[in-house]
Amino acid sequence: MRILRLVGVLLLVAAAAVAALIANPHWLLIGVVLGLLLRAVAWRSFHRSLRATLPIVLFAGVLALMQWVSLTPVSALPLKTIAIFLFSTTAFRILPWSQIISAARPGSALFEMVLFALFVRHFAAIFAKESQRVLQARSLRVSRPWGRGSFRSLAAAVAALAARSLVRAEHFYAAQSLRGLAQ
Amino acid sequence: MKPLLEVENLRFAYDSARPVLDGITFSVFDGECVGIVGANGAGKSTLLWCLLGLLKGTGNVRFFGENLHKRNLARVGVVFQNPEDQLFMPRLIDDFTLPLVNRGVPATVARESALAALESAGLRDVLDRPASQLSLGERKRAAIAAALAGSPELLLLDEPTAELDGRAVRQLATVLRNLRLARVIASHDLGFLQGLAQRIFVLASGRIFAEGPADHILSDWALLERAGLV
Repeated sequence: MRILRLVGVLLLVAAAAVAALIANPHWLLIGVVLGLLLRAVAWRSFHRSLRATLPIVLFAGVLALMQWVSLTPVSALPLKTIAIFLFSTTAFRILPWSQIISAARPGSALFEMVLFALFVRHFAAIFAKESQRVLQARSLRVSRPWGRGSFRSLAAAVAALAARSLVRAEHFYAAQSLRGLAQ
Repeated sequence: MKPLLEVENLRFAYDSARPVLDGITFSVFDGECVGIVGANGAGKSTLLWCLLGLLKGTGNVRFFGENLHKRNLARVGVVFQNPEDQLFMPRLIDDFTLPLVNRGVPATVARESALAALESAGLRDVLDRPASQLSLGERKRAAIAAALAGSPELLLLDEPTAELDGRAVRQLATVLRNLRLARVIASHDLGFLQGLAQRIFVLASGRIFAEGPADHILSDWALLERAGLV
């Protein structure tokens, strides 16, 4: 099973690298669809997987919009961004982290690297949870998403999210430094 | 008897005009359970952060007779208010073994310590699951057990009952009552500390407002009211 996972990770990393190199939009589109399906399998939920992809799709959309507004041809970059995101996050998800860190020697470069990746992964989950809470709180107060004051409330929610994330990051770092796992 | 923790005239302020902690002095001895109580914003968590060197205050903090250092900090177990700040590995058991292995403990010894700690917290059945999939009560117990896996001589806990239901609070109290090491519990949950702490320090406006045996302090309603606790 572990070997299968590692092979899966290698294939996904290779797919992300290929997506970074090619420029054909048709192939990239196929890559995006394939990436979405693989992500859904890894997360065992198509709905959850699709929802988590929305921010990067939005980012890629803004990228395409900016190219279009500036009268330059819309490149393959937005599709590339989505495809690479899908392949790399799925690879990150299925990596056998526990086995890798158990095999790594404490203090070695591999150990530090895996630990850093796990910190990032954990904090990304915290950030996602905090974002969900803040946006839920906002939606309870703002009944009409595009009504008067909605942008102000969105800005306040984002500011609150930044502050909360900083506090959570500080607590997480403090806890790990006391456990001897952060410098 | 030599104290495990000595705090002398500790002062801390974010804004120099309004100190969060001012002139805090107390000691904690081996095997005792000390409660630090105070209303929200009284400075309980700040006090713990100052003790651990996470916030820099003035005054003296000595663990095991020495100034704060990595060496003596390794003998202290810390449990944060939110277990998510501590437990982050894909499997719960790795959260227990990793700090030990990182400290140079052989992997087999670390695993044995982890299994014993998981067993004592009643979490042996979930050792392969990530902490994020456990209930909050289980996560709190896991955070305490993970801190205990390193065989500390002193355990510091910040608001251990926050967001827990009645049953989880009782289970947590049982776990903490059965420990023989020195414990410092910062909490505003007076019911939780009743029957658990031997001594209580009441924090109010950054100062030690009152201190004494838990029975005396917790039954003095006028005092607790003045400290904003009831």
